Amino acid sequence: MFNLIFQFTMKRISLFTLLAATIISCSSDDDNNGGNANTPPAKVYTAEDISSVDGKAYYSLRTQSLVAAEDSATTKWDIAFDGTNIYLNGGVSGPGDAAGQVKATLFDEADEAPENGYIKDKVGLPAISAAAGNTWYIYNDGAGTPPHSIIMTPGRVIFVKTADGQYAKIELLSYYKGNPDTGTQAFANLQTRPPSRYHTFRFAVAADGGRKF
Amino acid sequence: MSKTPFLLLLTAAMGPIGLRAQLAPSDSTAKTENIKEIVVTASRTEMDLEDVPVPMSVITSEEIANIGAPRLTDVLREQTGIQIVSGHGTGVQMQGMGSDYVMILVNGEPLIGRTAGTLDLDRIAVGNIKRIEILKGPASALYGSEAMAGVINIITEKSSEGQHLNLSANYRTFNTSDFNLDYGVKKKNLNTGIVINRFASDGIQLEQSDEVQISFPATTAYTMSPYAEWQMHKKWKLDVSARLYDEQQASLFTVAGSDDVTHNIISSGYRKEYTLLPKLIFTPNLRNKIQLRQYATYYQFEEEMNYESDGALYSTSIFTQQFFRTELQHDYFHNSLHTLTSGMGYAPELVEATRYADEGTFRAAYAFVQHSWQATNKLYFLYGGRYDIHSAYRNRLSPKLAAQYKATKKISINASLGGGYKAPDFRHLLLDFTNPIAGYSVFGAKTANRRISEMQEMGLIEALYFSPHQIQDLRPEHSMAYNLGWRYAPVTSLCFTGNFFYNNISDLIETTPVARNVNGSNIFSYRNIARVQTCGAEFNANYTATKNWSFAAGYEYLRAEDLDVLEQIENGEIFRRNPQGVTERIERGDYFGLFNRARHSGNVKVTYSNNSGWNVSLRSIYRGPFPFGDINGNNIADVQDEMAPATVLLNMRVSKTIYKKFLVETGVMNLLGQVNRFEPTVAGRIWFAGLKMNLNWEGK
Repeated sequence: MFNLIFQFTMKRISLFTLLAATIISCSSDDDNNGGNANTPPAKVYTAEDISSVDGKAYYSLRTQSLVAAEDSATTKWDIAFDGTNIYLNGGVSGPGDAAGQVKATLFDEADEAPENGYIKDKVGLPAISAAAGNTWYIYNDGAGTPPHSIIMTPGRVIFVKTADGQYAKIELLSYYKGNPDTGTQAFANLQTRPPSRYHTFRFAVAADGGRKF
Repeated sequence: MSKTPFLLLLTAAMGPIGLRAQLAPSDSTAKTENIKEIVVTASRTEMDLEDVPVPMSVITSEEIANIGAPRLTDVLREQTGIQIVSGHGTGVQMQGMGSDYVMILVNGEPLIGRTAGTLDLDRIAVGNIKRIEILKGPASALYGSEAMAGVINIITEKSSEGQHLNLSANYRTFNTSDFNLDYGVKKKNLNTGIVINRFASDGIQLEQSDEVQISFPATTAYTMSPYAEWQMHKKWKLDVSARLYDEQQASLFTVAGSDDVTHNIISSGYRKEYTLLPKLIFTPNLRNKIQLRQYATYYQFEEEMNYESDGALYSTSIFTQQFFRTELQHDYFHNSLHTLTSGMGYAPELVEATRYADEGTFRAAYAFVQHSWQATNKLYFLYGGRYDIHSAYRNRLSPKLAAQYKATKKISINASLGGGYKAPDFRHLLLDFTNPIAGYSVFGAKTANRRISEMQEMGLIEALYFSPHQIQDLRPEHSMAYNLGWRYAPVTSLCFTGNFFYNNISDLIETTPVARNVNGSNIFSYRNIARVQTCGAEFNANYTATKNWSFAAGYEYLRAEDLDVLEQIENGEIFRRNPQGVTERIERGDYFGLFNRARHSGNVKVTYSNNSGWNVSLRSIYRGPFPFGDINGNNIADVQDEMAPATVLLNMRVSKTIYKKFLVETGVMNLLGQVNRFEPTVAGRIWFAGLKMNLNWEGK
């Protein structure tokens, strides 16, 4: 009984919070960015078809561009893709300070990066991996629908600290070239499915070293 | 209530039955009241169906005959609250729980030989079934592990006085044939007989777009059931029955290889099942009945699969299982108000399989006790419990409490609560299987750690989804269930029954991907991860309109949901990408529930019979849309693309008795020819015709 009342109260509270949040976000964007009233919201970029077909793809969230493999030992890159393996430039994977975590939330709702909880890549245990508790995709095997497919788990936001310690958020969108609709017959058919190991994702880096997006 | 000489005589004739059956005031004017339906499954003692305080129904031999199908699948499909599901054979689903959780008994003893949890209903011929008792809700308090969703008890026919010879032949679409011989003789103290059945079918293979979809394999199966009942002495009776089953199967299926090519595979299987059940019954007096049962059963399944293209071996496997059970049961009929049933048993079990890492043995012992108590004229209680001791798993106590309140002669209300449990089976521990083409592996919980670390050392693991210590020892699955039912019979020809049910199941074992190998295939193991609730309501109406016409209708509303998913939805943690590519939150109403459960199902049946031997039966069976799987990456069913369409079956049979001893029948199953790839147990339209001959003569 108490539980019921509690649940009801919680519902009421969350409803009010939602309402309040809507009013606040409607009234002004300024409040979103802490004290700095003039900082515009972090710009959202989309990186398309980052290919790891020919080996690890290194990417800089700060410059929104690929980084050459020769620079893998520098702090120029933040995140690297190698098929379904994701590496961050920190820990055992690179000289930077990059670390990350995955949260179940909506990219657009994630207006602030968590303060704590970031982990670095360890030997055999990259931070952004299922083994580390940070799942971001499901794999449907031969019996699955669509068969042999990597489908991004919807509603997973990867929060990362970049190699130089800035906060960023990432939503992975696709593992296939051209970000195809995975619900179609053309995708289900292995003969007509676009090639894999092409990551499309959108991301934003918080301005001025802050945590707000 | 005084014991009349008549009652004594009756009791002596039938063996000591629960005197409660006589408690109900006999309404001699009512035609239907005279024929009491005596059932045994609910309490392990004989009881009038109307007095059973838990959800229970009976399929009579007439009803089975009206369906005109040779296998149990088609008989169960027409029952309210039962859904037929496919996967490693044809299985049954009750109160939202799958075949793993339904115990199937033949004359009170469990059938063994399950493939991935499914006990194939097509293994069971219905030729000489007297009745089928279906008990819904957990019955672990009497039957132990497995009886979490319920129990289906198949009671076979025994000879009546004299001799009988029943022959039947049935021919059906897909070159399916069924022959049944049933011979029995009852003389003085000895009642013996044998039933022999041959079933053969070319199998059904449906071509759906570019995929081959098998409905059921080409089969030839023989069943032989001899029995003997010997009243050795006034107080001693020996009852021996056996079942010998032999089946050969062939089927064709396709597998998608990791090289993106599909292959056709021919599978041939050979299945054997032998059971022997001697039973010694001692009735020292009217108050006591003691039974000693020694059940032994052996099951073997051999399968060889070859590529259709070049005949090369794809896979071969042998599975053997032996199950023994010694059980002592004592029924004590104190007086017309109290009956105490208690028992204990010991059951060793042995499994050997190509696909298992080791040979497996279980030893289980148990004791149960149950009190049947007529508290007042209107109020009745049936309660008890069972304690199971298991060599591989935690011990378990399963309680049960049921009550019936007969408000008036016309209205009675049943309420029960009970605990169900299911011990993990051998496959959950020992499986060591890798699919040679698709490349995926399934390891039992005991095997997984060792095999995965071996593969890791060889560099065959690409990704681990769990750290190995998270794949732990398995615990038994367990449930708590509540049932609230009623029976309302305003007039004797009309009866409404209903039942609300709620099951809360914890520690559910699920196949979970635990790692991925370098070929890109998943490695699965078993974990106690899920919590599930199933709830719903079942309604039935029966109306005997005239001497000739009778009508029946049934409906079940079912919700089966994953409690963790509900919690995640509540917390706003489950999402989907809509067709516009925008990620959105799943709402409570978007969640369709567990896969393979139809929310709505039901049936309507009309039967006509007359004095000149005509019998017509028309039935329509509905199974509503159900979620078949996840395609949008969030692991739950939440969009219409993930729903399988509804199926409406229209089944019909016409029969005519000729010269009293002969019967001709013809009919059709699935007249509308409804077929879809999500219902592989529903074949296309099946026509059938058959002939029966029943000979009886007094053997004096």
